[in-house]
Amino acid sequence: MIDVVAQVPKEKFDLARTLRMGEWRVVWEVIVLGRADAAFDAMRQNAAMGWMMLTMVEGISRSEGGVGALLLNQNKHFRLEAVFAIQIAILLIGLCQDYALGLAKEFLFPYADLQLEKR
Amino acid sequence: MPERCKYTDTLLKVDHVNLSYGDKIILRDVNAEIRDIVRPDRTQGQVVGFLGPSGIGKTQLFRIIAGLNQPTSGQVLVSSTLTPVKAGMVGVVGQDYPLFENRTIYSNLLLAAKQAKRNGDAAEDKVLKYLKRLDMVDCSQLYPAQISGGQRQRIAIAQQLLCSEHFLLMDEPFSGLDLVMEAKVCELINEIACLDDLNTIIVVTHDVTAAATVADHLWLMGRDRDASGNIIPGARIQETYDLIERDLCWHPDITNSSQFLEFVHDVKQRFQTL
Repeated sequence: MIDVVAQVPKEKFDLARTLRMGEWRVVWEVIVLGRADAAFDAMRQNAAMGWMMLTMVEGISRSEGGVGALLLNQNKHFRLEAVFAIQIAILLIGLCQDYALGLAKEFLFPYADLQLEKR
Repeated sequence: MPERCKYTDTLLKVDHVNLSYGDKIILRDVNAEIRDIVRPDRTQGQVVGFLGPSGIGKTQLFRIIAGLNQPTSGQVLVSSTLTPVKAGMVGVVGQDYPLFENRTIYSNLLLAAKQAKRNGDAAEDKVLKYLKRLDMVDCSQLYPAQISGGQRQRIAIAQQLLCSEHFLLMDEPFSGLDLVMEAKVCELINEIACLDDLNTIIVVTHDVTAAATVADHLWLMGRDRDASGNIIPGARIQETYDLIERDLCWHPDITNSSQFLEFVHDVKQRFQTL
């Protein structure tokens, strides 16, 4: 997230200053509004990683239960069909989560990917 | 003076500007002035071509004139009241024509109009006026990434004019353009200059021909040399050429005249000694 802010080009700050903006307005316009799409992207990536790590974390503290504990229990009893089913479920939920966040990004920041080839 | 015109108020004054970073002297006693040109029965703004070799300190002076950087000593005064410049008083159009990518064209312009302390309706009227003049009403709801380079340049200029009113600094507007596009940019600069008597445009470039085509005055920046030919640190404006006096501006086919070509040749020769 720090990188998102650090990558703001100097020209954007100059642009804001030449439009008579005060320092706080510059921060709001250039960093908060101007980088909101990139910050959302960073959050989306973190959410993907978080979902991936979930099983591992839940596996470490099994007393709390959860899908990670379930996965490891099934693995312990060598029920591979259940293990694969849980893994596929995790994958599909992760993909759906990412797709939903992608849709949210398109709705909230329609300008974000205009320069990409896919457009 | 071949064309009947006169100079009145000083609109911009660079007054003994010095800039150093530690021991390194960048600018040394820079002085320059732009005066209001009044042509009878015509609206005529001022266009100054600011020339100098790469790395000489043009951008530093550019930023000082824009109020983005402070000089070590000296000052820049703008408008007929000669007020010390602050960021926002002089519009700046950078090389890449920066705009707020998260805002539509209309929103970019409206933001600039509102920053100039106009109320809502007045700001909207002014924006619509500019969009119509630039023939870009249809593009108003598009984002900057969706318009062409030429359109982007026009919007960047309009945005700065909406906020700063009369002063505009353009950084290398001819860079990377072919001859047709270069002529179009020159046309655009002239068009903006002719919108208001007080419109004052400084075009920073190292393209001598393009600058001479579009400007009524040229500033040539460079460093002095001592008696043995060594460079003295710190650039200043070495020459100011008045193209009106030489009858080399405001003529549609001036670029084909032998007098113009000779002038450009002379400036280029001088350029090489800087």
